[in-house]
Amino acid sequence: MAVEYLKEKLEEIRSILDNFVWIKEYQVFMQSLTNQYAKTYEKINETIQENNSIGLALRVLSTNNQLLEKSLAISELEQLNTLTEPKSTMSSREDFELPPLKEPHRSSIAGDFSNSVNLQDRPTLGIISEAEKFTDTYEMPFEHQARVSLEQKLVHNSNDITLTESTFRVNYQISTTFEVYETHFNLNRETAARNLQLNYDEIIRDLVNATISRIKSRTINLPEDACIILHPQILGILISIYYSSKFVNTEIGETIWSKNLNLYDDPHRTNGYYSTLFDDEGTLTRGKQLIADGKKLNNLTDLRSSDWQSGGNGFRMEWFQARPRSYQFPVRPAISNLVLTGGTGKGQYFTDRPGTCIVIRDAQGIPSMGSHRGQFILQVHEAEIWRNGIHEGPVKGFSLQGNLDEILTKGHLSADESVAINRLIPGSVYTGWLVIPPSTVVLRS
Amino acid sequence: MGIDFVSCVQISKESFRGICVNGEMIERETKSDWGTGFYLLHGTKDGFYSTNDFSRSNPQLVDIAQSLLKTNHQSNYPAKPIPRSVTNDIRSSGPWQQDMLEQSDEIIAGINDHLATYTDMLRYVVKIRGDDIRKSTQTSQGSSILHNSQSATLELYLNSKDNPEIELTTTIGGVQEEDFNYDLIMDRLEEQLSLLQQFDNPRQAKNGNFPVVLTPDSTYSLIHEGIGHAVEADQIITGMSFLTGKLGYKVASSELTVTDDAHLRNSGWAEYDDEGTKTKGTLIIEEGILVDYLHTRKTAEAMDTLPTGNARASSFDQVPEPRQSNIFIEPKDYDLEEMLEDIDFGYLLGPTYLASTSIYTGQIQIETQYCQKIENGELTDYMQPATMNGHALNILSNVSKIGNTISKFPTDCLKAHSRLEIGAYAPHIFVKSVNLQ
Repeated sequence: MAVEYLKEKLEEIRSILDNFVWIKEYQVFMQSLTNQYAKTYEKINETIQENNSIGLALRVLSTNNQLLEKSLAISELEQLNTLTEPKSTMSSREDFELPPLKEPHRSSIAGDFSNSVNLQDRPTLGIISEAEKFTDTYEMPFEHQARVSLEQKLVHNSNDITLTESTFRVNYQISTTFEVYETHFNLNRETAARNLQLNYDEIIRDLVNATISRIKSRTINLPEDACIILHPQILGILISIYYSSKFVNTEIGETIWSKNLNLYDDPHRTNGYYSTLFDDEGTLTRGKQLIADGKKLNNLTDLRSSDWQSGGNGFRMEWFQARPRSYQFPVRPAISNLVLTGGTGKGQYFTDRPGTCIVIRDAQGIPSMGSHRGQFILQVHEAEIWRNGIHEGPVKGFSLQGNLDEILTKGHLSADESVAINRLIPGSVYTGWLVIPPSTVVLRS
Repeated sequence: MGIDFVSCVQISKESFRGICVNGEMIERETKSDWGTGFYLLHGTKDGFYSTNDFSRSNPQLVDIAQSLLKTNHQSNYPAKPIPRSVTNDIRSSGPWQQDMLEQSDEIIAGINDHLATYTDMLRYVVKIRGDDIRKSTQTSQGSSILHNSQSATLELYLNSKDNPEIELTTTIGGVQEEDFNYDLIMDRLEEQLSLLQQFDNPRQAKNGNFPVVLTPDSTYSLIHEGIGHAVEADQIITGMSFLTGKLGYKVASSELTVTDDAHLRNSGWAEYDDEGTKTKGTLIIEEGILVDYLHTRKTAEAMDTLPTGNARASSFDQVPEPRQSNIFIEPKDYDLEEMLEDIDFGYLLGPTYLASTSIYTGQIQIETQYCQKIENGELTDYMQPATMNGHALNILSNVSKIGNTISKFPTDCLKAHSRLEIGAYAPHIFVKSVNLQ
């Protein structure tokens, strides 16, 4: 599915909208999203899914300054012919107008590489097939999962500016049956395009070997005096969820985290997973500092929350959805690439400290999204225990309960960073490892 | 060798979403969506293809469906047309008696008018959601089902400016007109306003173990999070659930009986599930004993049992998976006063603010919107939100009294990446000892 198809459909939409004399201005957001997912277990159970979704979200401003917002599946395009003038009971503003799009400096960060991505070849099965070559030598069952997604978006304003962008993402994970050990691997757009021309041997070999080295876990009596070390993936998920809840309710100027911590949103990050030149409202994006020295500095804004003046973080997104960003969702202020800095040292050396550490690499659960107190509870799937710098092996089967404010106030962040990406999160988070002093969080087996 | 099972679900949905914050509409959007999901089972393999661009994809659809199976054998689908030996057409009048957008505007305008005199003392948010769904399910086993339904939900958040830690949330809605109308909403608004005024510099509840009475909303959260998710058969098969292998075991007090019943006219209502299986009431816990899990066709086959009609998908592009529908917690003999009378010191834990659980371990955490002190059998001071912690089985084994009045309300449920509406029927319950933080 190329951007050209969206442009064809756009012409169809424009010809319909131009027939309505009551329309003063309009903005069209179009999205085409193709997902392919494959899972195999012991080469016996096999699941393949493919989703193909195309749609548009429309903002129309009438001549009497009423705003009409509507999203449509491409299969429902005919409904545009019956569009009726909005007669809202809500008050209208006389000076209201949709902000015009501006010409971006570049047409797109990644360009349209959709022609080089052939989903008919089932790249998901290719990835799994390569992975199975490595696991064939082990006498245990494995579950392999691979996912690819190709997204194209287009924003068009009635002032005749059209912006387009393409994104391609790959995720892979492997688990042993009944023991959930997962490793996520993500390719950003540029490297995805490059690696698709190669085979996946090297990538998959590292991935499988790394996972296998962590199996044979055991249940332990949890030591009460242990430090907890959170993998960036876990910390990133907590921060991104927390961001949508307490942070946005916190007053500007309030100190909430340790004074050396800084958080900013960086939509232009090189190779950033959610880097984009413009948001879903067509506003050019820019970096924004959100927390400076532990103190809240800014909120993210979309057009509506900035009184139709600035924006830049308006994305059609929803939490905990199969597709976190879709034309179906209303615009909300959302993160692009969130970056947490201010740490010192390297995370890999955190385990060298005296005493006992539990390194938490993977966990699932529903952190208390929206909690007044930033509380979370996670079920830990994958962890390691270290004593006096010596690795004692993997552990499993416990839950972790705590408060994000507290761990980011009392904890120590590393300077190195890696990216936290989760399908549930409509953005990415770049952060380091966090070591949390004993008794700051509660472990329960 | 043919394909064992094929289902084709077409869903057409007209929706409205609106959010009003302190009198200002920040979202007001209608949605139209139409698409097809195509699910196939063949031995141990399954495949799923979905599209909302059917006209464009249709010529390829059969090829894709067959290639999903990765089999060289001749398929009997779709060369052999689906027999339509079973046809059901279910219609409901639903809660939307006029255009969703107009009816929503009217409700929000009414709430804004009513709250105009309260803006000095509170902040408020109104979220309103409406769906008009037409669903067509066809299966290779001969089912052809039409299912038309409507649903409506209104969430109201009130936050006291004097006591900002108090944030009252209530949800109104369902699938019938009687569940969602202007008068009902305004009555609930009045109740919430009256409740908000009961808080006067509320203090925190003590930490420790106390006897508590849970409101129906908290009772439901405890059962839904602590038991409901843990009996979904996909969690059992993968060994993720702490209730794996516990069928036939005592997992709760003998007072407790819990059923999942999609036939009840609440948010989880469906006469057929999304695989075309006829729904039925499934007894999950009978007098404290775990008696069944919730199954789809696939999980039932894997566990050598029958599907329970719990295959639910949030959209045409989602594969149906085992989900709860309407959770019914059987009422017993006690009125609220009788539950309170033996408590010298304890708490009434108010409606849930947030609940989460670790299915792996059974650890559960429920944060309430507020709580109320119980002293010498009487309800006294309103207190700040409290957080209940513990293991689901410990808490459920401490349930000793169940109320005689049942509350019906809509809720929604998040599992992995899909959100579904679920109906709840729950009474007050008395728990002898619960840890509060």
